[in-house]
Amino acid sequence: MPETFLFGKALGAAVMIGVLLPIVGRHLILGRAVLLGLALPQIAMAGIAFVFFGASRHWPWAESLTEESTKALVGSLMFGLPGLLLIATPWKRGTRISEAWLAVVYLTSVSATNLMLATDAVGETYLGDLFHGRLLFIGESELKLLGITLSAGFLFLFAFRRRLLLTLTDPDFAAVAGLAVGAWTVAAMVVNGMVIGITVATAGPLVAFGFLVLPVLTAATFARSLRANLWLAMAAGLIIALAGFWLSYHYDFPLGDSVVATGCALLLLARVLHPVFSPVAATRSETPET
Amino acid sequence: MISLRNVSLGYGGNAVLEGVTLAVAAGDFLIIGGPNGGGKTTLLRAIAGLLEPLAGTIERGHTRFGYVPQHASVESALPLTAMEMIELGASAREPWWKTLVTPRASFHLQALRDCQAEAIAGQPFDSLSGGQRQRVLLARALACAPDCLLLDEPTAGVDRPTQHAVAAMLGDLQRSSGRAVVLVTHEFPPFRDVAGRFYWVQDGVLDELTARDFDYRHDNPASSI
Repeated sequence: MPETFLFGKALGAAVMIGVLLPIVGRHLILGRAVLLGLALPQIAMAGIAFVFFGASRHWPWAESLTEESTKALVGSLMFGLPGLLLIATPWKRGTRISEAWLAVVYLTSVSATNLMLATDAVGETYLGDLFHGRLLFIGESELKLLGITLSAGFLFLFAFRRRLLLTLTDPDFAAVAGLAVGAWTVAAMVVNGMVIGITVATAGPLVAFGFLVLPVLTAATFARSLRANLWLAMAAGLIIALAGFWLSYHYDFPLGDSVVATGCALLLLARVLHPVFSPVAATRSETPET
Repeated sequence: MISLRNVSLGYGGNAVLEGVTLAVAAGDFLIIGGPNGGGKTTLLRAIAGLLEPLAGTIERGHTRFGYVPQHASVESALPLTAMEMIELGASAREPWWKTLVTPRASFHLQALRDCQAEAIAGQPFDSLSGGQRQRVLLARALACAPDCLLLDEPTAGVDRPTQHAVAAMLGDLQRSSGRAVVLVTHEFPPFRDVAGRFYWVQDGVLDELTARDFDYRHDNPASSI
């Protein structure tokens, strides 16, 4: 019975992430900032490593965080949010983020994470688990925090999707039309940063990045509008979470790796099946949306 | 409506245009030409409020602008339709709480209809031709219910018949609604009959010309009047 309860929480977390995270992924893909979605989880990982490193060096503030999951949350947000705002600074001026600089941020974060873990066995074990998807160990309070953050983030991004997507796709047009582009961009960044940071701290960077990208791209294979793409992506996220969980349970694979491998397989299957369904999609496109 | 007084414009403290004085009233149709790098787009961006002047003053009052950029590209991995482009654009002019509810589809379709683009409402923007994209971008600007349309090379990269069609459409829109139109272009002939005022930007100076002089300058950009 306790095992069933444990898996129930893990399954609940996987489903929540699968269904609610694609809306953040849509923002990153449409804003041509997918590399940001790759770099940001790694920045969060560096923050988590930093807190564990601090605790191993007996820094009082780090030692005061007794629970490992609390260390992960604090570290993830401590590096993730400022990192995101720093990276987003050129974006709010209407220019694109340099992919080359994002690559530098990614490399710096990976190397810093590994160096900090080199002398910290506890942190190395925790982050090792986290990388493979630590969903099976998720606690009650972590699950609640994840649920609240993902739901609040989804509601904000869905309610203001038109303005947020406009500032992403054409900041000049938005500014001329009277929108406060900088404020909307920073608001979106803060929400995306919170959602990604907490997802990384509870589920790991692989699961976070996987659910940011794979369901949205799978849905884009069949969807003929952005609206349809979101609903299909949420459905794809649900399928990936359930199938990945079943795969992990049945074959005793690491849950995070199973979920992401399932997402990759579904995307491949969608691309293979696309020619079969494309006549249907073409017919749908002839009807203007209302 | 819009007034520029002795304005200097440029980037990083270096002036591209100096001593610009210009007034735009409701119903005006201005065309701005000039060689590449002369400062046409810089002037348009300053009128739009995207560029602060180095010196002088720009007054815009409560003018609502609709901006048509030279190009707009969206990420090809996601299917953003023409209709959705209009919805996103129109959301900019509405109070934030109105953007929470379903958009006014009939109003957006009318904007597409005005630009003869209703048939492509459900098509992904990324899959449209250059001329179709320009029509959608113009419809998006119209969906903001602007007092003044600002267009940056709206016929660049499209064929001659489409250029004339876009010019005629702009002329109709300006006459029927009384909106002001400020247009930057390299393609003067399609707009010769619809524009009312002609400006030429060269060597850091803005000159007002007659249509005939503008035509001459357009054909002989190295010359001076």
